[in-house]
Amino acid sequence: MKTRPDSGPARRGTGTGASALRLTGVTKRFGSFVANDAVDLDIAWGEIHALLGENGAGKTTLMRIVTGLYTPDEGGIELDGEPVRFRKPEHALRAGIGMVHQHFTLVPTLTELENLAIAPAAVPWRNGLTEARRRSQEVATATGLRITPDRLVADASVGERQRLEIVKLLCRGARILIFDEPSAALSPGEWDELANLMRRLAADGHAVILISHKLSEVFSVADRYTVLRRGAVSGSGTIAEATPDHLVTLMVGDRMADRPPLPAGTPGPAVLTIRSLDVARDDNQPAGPKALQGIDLEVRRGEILGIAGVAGSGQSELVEVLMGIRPALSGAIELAGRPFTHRSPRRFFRAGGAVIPEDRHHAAIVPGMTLWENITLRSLRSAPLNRQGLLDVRAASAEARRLMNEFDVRADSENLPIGRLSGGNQQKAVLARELSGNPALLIAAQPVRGLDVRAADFVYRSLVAHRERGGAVLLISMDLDEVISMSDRIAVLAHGRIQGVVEAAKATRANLGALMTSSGEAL
Amino acid sequence: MGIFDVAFLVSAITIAAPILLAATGELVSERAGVLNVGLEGVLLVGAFGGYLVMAGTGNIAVGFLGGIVGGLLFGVLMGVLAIETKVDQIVSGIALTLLGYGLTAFLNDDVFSKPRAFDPLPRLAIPVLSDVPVLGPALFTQDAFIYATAVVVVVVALALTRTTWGINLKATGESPVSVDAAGVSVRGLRWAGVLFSGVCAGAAGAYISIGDVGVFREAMTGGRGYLAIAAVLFGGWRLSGLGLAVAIFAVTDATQLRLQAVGDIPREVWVAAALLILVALGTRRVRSAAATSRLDRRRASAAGLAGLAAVAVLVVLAIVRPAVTLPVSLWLAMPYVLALVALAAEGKRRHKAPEALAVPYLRSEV
Repeated sequence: MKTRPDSGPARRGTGTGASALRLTGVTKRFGSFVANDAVDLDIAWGEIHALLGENGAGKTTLMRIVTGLYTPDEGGIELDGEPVRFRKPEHALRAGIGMVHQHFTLVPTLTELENLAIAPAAVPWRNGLTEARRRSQEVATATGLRITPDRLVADASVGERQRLEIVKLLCRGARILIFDEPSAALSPGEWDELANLMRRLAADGHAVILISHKLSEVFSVADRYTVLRRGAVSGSGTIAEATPDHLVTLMVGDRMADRPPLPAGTPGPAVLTIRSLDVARDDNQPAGPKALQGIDLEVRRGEILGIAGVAGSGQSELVEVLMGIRPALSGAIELAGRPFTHRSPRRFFRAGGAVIPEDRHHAAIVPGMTLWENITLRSLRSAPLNRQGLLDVRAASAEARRLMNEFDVRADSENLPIGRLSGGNQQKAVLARELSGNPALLIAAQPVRGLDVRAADFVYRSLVAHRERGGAVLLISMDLDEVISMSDRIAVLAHGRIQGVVEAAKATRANLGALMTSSGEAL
Repeated sequence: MGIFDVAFLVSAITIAAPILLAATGELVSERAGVLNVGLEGVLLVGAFGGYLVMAGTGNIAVGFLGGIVGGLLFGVLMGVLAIETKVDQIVSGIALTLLGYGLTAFLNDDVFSKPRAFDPLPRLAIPVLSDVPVLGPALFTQDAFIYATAVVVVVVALALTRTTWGINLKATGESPVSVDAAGVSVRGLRWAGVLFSGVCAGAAGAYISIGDVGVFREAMTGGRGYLAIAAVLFGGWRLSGLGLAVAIFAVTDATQLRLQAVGDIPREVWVAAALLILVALGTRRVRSAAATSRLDRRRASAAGLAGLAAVAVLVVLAIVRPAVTLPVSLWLAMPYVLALVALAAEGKRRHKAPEALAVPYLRSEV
């Protein structure tokens, strides 16, 4: 870094504590909605500053203002004590503010080096590749972050892509780095590596902003925090003096009642039995690598079985096989006491299955269709909503209204397109549809992802209520705390194998984490 | 040599040049993420623009400029529709095609009641190189447009691989979000792509009218715009593939032109067709060697059997030499049939279309 004359924290030096970025009274309105309300934020050089808040608290809007995607309606931004105004992302980048987006901004079909070379070209015919290579080597010597220049980004792992994203920003002289939910796609090991890197960057004099929901992460790396609630700052301070409870209160406002511990259940006979299931990673290559191997599982009546594991351990393949979307190589599945051999989604639902898909927008709802159509989608094929092939629209609307009431779906009318509802209300509508048929087995894949605390709590309570009624739930989640608090038993899935099944009462983050990494060898 | 002589090569190259130029422009535009389905309309406007200006000035160079301006105007229209107002690109492309057809036909009837004819572009022999046998007359005794096309293709090839601009452009078609995040203007690159495509198609259109034959007729581009779009697809969005695709179309077209004149189908056509199928089978074999899937293998062997059967039939035909001929309209259809086959084969290609092709970019989705 010291080799570059134009900028760099090294020159601004060890003046850690000096203000790097200061927002005063930043307000942003969209119509009548106030996304940011007089937000003050102070980031110092050499610190890791955590920005906390629920979904919709205004974190994203604030960071879009900082990175020049939005211009604030009121308030000012000071960089190094000098007022600045960013009208374009390019301005913020030039000023040294870079963001590692949750969804990486990399082009998979280009090589890593070419991705670094994407930049405004002053002279159109300039070849930026040599320059990019030189800079990436400088970054490598300064921070130890190495890239594989001639590899296609498509061939890189998630952790490697994130590293490339950081190198990209450093190459362009970023001194203030914003990480948006960086751990979402990482395994625990990769997160530790990233945490170390953030500390190293801060020690070098960079300013690091960490946006996260996960308090454990915030407490492990951050120096200070700022909490946003409904667009306004609800508190800030140093992490050393904060407690998780305090931060949660700041985020949520009135202290939410703690989720009651799962009452002991009385599991009945098995609803879903899986025996030595093998699934290929690629349907067209049965001899190729396997996504799932030797899976043995049992989900019983009145039980929530949690599947823990990092993303990509085989969870989505498991769901797809159960639903009959993906063929299995071998193994037997029993659903609701009968062999479930010839699988198809329709047979799955008919046999008493239901599913809350992971991808809400693409798999769970039809955004352009109305709320009542989405809620009654599953029951339109049979009486009473279907009379000799004709749809009883009035009965369907009435049924939808009843379910909206029962599942607390807040919308002005059942005739609204479901795409216009908030994520929480969409998910409640999905719950209403899936649970209304009183299924024997509910597969819930990341059912609270992207939901705020209240909506998540509602989903939790619905799952537990289903369990009390004697239903079985297969809960798939990447969040260990969620799995531990929600399940009766936990199966740990890693590299396509069940590494162990633990009673939830005896499960801790540590012993589940150990199971996840116990067999690291690739298949 | 029969029908495959030097004159045949010359005519194939003359046919290939405008398609190649238009397709190169389309490739640049598609790599930036804008699919200009209205290429046919742009070609027509270029052809008519060139003819109009040529009729006014009598200067063929200025005439070409007129064609380029016509193409540019349609490029601007496409840009406004696709980039600024974010209209569905297929729909706006069809609109452009229809507008091109209608506008040129109407103006041609109304402005020019008397059709005029001009001298086409003169052929320029490049010293020394033009004396090489076969290649000399075919490649180096051509008109200025063909040389210019070659230069443009080489420059585009270099620009796409060796410049920051080229990398930005390719990234825009794949992942505009990334380009925006890097501080590069997605709009700017897409406009550049669309305008470049307009200029290329305008010039190619002018060549079709005043450069090659010296007249304008209604709908005279005869689907070359569609052939260019098909060539980009067939070529897997790579310049090398595009060149191959254009070569195949041009040779087919030149062949059918010749065959229209010859009565019976001569022996070498059967032989050439048999050779083509053999080459295609060979490349398939090499490529599918890696395929492990049972289904793929079964499909490949079925296709292989069908190909060999076709070769056998063709060889028999070449020996027997039956006195058959096809109606002219069927011959005319040959390049288009080939284009259809190319599109059908597209599903199995290694190179995929740019991810963001024909998808308007909305920043709020960052």
